[in-house]
Amino acid sequence: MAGPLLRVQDLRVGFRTEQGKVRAVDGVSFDLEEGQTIGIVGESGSGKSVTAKALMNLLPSYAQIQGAAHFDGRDVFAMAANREKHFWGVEMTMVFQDPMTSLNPVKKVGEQIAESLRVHLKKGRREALVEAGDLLEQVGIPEPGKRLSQYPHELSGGMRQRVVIAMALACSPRLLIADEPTTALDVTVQKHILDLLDDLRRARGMAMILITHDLGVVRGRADEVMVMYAGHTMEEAPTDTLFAEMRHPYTEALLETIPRIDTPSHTRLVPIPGRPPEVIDVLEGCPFAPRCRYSVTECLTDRPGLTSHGAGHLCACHAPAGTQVGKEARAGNEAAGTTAAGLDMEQFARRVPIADLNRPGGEG
Amino acid sequence: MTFLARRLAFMLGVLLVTTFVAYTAMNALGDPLFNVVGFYTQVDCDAVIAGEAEDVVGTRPGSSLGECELVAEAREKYHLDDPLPVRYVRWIGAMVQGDFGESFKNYMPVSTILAERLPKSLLLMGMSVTVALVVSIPWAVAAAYRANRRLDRASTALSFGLLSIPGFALAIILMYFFVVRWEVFPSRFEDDDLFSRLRSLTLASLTLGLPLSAVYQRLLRTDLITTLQEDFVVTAKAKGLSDRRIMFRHVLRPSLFGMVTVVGLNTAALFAGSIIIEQIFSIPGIGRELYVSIVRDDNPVVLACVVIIVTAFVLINTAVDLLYSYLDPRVRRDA
Repeated sequence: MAGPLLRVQDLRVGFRTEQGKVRAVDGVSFDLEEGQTIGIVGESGSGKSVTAKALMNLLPSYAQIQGAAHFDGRDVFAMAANREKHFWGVEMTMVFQDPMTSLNPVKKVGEQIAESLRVHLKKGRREALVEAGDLLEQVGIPEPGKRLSQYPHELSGGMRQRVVIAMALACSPRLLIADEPTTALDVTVQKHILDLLDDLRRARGMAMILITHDLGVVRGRADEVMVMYAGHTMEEAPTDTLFAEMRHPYTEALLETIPRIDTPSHTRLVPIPGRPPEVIDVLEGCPFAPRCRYSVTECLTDRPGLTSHGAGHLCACHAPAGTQVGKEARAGNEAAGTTAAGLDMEQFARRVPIADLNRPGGEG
Repeated sequence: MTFLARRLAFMLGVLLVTTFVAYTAMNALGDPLFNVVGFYTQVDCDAVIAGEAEDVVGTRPGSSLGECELVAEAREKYHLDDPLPVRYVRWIGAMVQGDFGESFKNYMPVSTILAERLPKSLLLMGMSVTVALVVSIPWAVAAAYRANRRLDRASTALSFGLLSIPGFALAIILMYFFVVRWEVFPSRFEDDDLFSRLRSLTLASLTLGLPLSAVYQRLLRTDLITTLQEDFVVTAKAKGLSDRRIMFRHVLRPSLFGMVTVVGLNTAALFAGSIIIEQIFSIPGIGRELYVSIVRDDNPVVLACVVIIVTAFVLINTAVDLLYSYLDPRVRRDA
């Protein structure tokens, strides 16, 4: 069937709470072609994991899901309602953030990998175990035969994440969702795991959704990037375009929070002041306006829609960075010393040394 | 292997301490001689035997000589003139060789009494535990799966109901319906074959097992609900596994810890604590024997029962510790 492998249209996920309805995802749309990678980037609470869980049918039953998602033309949410047995874990699989907790502590590694093969592909015990060994080898685990009969606690964090990846790959999925796959790992291991995912994706022609809070992670790995904030898509563009012509102030701010190898040493990082909003009430203006150094009065009353900024480049902003309007807005705010939302521009001048960001409580 | 050796040493230690305490208590808090011969301990028997004194207690003149000879005989037979530690060592030495002594009252070897009583109590214990587990595990799984929904609420009410009925009341209710009205089960213990034994013990095992099943259900339900929050359950769901498979293959085993601990403690206690139930259902088991022996001051039998119960306690708890390492491989290292 022609068309994208995955098409998500106006996805909305809400949770009823005592304080009101939390709109965790509020109108997200994207297409993902077979064999392509899309990076979804945003802070904690931006709705990226909820988007992934909605697609994986992992949300609790009280979550209210609206909108549509089609996988190879098949309606994902209809399959969820019909309790489709051999879709999740077979065609669409997921790798989770924390390998220390995402493996069952009382089951042998081999059994856990073989389980999908046995349940979905009806393979015999021995055959499935042999295949589990092959998978362990593919994810770069030494002595796979020996590992099969080990328990998760006998492996290191990096190894465990490789096991989780092997589990996700067992039934040769067409789409792999990786939700912050390296956040819980040592920095030295992170790159290995990301490269491994990338290599496997290429070798298998598999599509991937790579979820991260780190723009640096998607650079060079994703074909397309979607930046999310408070449940909304802020900016979406082919990766190269995004890094070359960043339009959204939030994307720009995110990038400035990341240490980069190509900037002079001792360059200080710029934290984004404030925290993401609690998305309980319907927001009138732009959700990022209170933390944005470009914000103009319009931002407080009108929620900007996604507008085109070139081929495949969408951005939801009234005063996009790098445009004439944006430059004027920022200059105006700097001259006034405060933004339209009342944010003290001094906050941006206070650049924080990298060491301070790593202190407990320093991370947002 | 070292684990087993250590457990064995521990078990021996516990047995030594408990038997010593029990033996000392039985011998020091009451006079064993009195338990054998009654009030003749009050008579100066040495003088009577030597013909220097008259029997002051006896009602039949001249009969005291024979009785006093009995006292002397008992003293020698039970080595009552030896110091307590010596007697204890002698007693335990004999016990290790399978000689529990003989009853003060009917002079039967204690081992014969035990051989007859023990299997019935063991069978009752086994049946009660089976009832408790067979009822509680599916019950807990069903309740945890639908936690806080209507079914779970109803089951909570039922479990509190079962917990608050006293054992003897449940026994009487069951007896009334199944023995008196419908005559499904016999009213006394029938010892013809295994089937009749099982049948005779059914109501008693329900009486013991059902309240326990309520306790186990509460424990397991809570642990299941906790385990269901774990990340690896999300992983299992993402693998596209059915709820049933996730529950039984992924969630149940790591949730059994709390319950297994309590099952271990309760099972051993069942052994000692089924005294009332054995009495009500007239089951000739250890509990009933212990009760009767305590009332009759039958020291050797009481002590033998204590040894049996303590052994059961330690053995069952060792089994529970072994089960831990089966349930969770992370325990195996430092076991």
